[in-house]
Amino acid sequence: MAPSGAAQVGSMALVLHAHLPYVRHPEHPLFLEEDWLYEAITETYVPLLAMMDALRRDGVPFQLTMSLTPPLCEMLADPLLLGRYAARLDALIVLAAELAASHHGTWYEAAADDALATFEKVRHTFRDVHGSDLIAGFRHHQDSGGLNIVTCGATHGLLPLMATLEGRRAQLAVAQQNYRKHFGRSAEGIWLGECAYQRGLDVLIAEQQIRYVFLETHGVTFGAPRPKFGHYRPILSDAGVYAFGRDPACSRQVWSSEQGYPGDPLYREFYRDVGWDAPRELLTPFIGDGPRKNVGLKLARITGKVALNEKDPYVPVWASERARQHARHFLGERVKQVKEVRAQIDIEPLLIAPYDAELFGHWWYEGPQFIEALFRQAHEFPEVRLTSPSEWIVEHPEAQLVSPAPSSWGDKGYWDVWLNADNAWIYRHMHRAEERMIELATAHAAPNELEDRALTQAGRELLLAQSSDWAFIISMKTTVPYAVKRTRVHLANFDKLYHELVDGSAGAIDEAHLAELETRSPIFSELDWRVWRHATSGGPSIGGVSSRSIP
Amino acid sequence: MSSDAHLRRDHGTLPSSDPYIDWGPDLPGKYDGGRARLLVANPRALFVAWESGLQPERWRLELVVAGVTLRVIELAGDAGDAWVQVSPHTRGDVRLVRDGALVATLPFETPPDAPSEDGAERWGRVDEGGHVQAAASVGGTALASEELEPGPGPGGATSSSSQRGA
Repeated sequence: MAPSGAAQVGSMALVLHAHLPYVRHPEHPLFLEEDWLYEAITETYVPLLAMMDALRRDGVPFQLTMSLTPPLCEMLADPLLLGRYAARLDALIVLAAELAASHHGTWYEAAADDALATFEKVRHTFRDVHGSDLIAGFRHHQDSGGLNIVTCGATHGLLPLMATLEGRRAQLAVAQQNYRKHFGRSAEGIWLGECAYQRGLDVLIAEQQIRYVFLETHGVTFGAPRPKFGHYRPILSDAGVYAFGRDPACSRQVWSSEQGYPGDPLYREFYRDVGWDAPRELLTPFIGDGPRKNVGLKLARITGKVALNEKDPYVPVWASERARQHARHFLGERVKQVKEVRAQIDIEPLLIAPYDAELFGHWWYEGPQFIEALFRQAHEFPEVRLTSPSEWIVEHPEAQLVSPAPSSWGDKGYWDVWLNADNAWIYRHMHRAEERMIELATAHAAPNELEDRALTQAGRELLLAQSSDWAFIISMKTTVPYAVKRTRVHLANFDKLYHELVDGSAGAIDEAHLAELETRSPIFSELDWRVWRHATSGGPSIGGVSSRSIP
Repeated sequence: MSSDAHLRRDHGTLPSSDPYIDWGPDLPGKYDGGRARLLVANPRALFVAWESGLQPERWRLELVVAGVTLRVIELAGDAGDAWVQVSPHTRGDVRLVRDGALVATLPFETPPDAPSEDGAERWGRVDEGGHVQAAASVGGTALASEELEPGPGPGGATSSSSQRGA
């Protein structure tokens, strides 16, 4: 604990990137990949919201920055998905109650009781406190202060690997428009998909009145000229965009499999799920007649490096206490860090601590407790002030003028994850679609109503194909067929609409098919396809991709 | 033929050994009009892909930096792609030559993989109109250059999204 009256030495901004790809399958009653959303709502988004509710109720100040990406916002506002989620949560509560009854008097009693109580609390927060409208809950905390919400590219597209200025501009413009729809104001900051940056993007970002971005550490430290304070202060691009660089020490402490907190033996084990243990008849709402899978209910703790069937029962009170200890340790380490850095640079340093939001709660079950403890204990560590990028640039508007360096936060720090031997095939199709969307938007000066619908849906299909998630999944070799299929389906849908629109004859547009596509992927109701129109006034030169026609 | 270049026979379709896996619809094998593209993958690698309606053809890729041809890759066929090794923080061109005639020049600039040697300082702030105005230095002491070097390698597997089926 800091001595009473200790002076502030540095600042830290905690940033959570909340994103899931747009997965919505009305054509199937149960769809495995929709579980990504349902699990994240139960384990991450609702617990974070409940945490903010509790902190506000208790008068505990907090400063948290979150990106809520446009696809995630659209899914959190989707009646079909919300209805399915509510049913899923009810089924989880029934399952947890069955397990709590059957484990009464066993070593698993506390874990089963905790699971039931947790799900009931999640349902109360989701349904009763926030009326099934999580977006409104997050908006409330932003409007009340404490939460600072930033946007992301429209579908988390990897901007450096896009072919055109117009295509990149559309990702940013659609994102800003979507943010206004959900949050009633313009986004001040943006989390670029995968933190991927290429020179010249700052001009397009500034066009959208977005004031700052987050970059991987070397996006700042490899900038030119050399940044005087490294990543310990934001830099300012000539286009007027501040760039905040990730602090690797903050990341290591949470992410690292060796040094990171989430691997503590007392924490809940992610991989031991009752979906593989419980009697099959209890799992029908989750798996139907299909194979077993994780259902998001777990009763064991990590224990150590032992086989899954040798894991010890989870003891919630031990894990909660460990989360509080880890929060205290994290803050203590930040105090040491800011003192060391300040001694070097002789000016207040800012630490940017960004993480995937879904780490907290989904992968690291106790993560939201860790964050809550961090805010509740922060007053004991006055050397480190918790802030947000928005607050920082108001208080410290002067920054060194530096051109950020091309970079991403993926493996090796550039674009290898999204461009390699496994997924390079997507780009020739993606780039053609991008160029054709510009052609369509430029050629249609006065479309009729049906053409307008087709142009809008063509824009949606292109944006959905551009999601960086598909190339990522192909690289990671996880649910590869799904990622390949999503890429191909959206590109094929776009291709069909393109040819129908180019044809231009009466009846060329297959209205029944168009209506089906609109039903399947109703993302971005506000979408204006004119954002893809050819930029006659030019724009910045953006490196990374060059393209030429050949005979 | 260079080991890092190959003819593209599948045109983006994925052969599957499992007939029960649904890979989605086939994408066009060919588009109208030939096209050559270059994508920077990292400071040391470029991905170049091209397609043309004419065949059979012989292709040559030339990596040209500061007027000097550093690397040549030769291929045959109507379409193909290649990974081209380059150096960090380099500007240059990849020239695509078909049957001895230059058909496309693809410029590139690879990212730096080290801190800039330019230590000049300029300071600014953003006014209410969003324009950058000059500002005075905030003072402080510059970090030593070696402090800007990343650890074992920038980025990391620890830092990409954990959900999304991973």
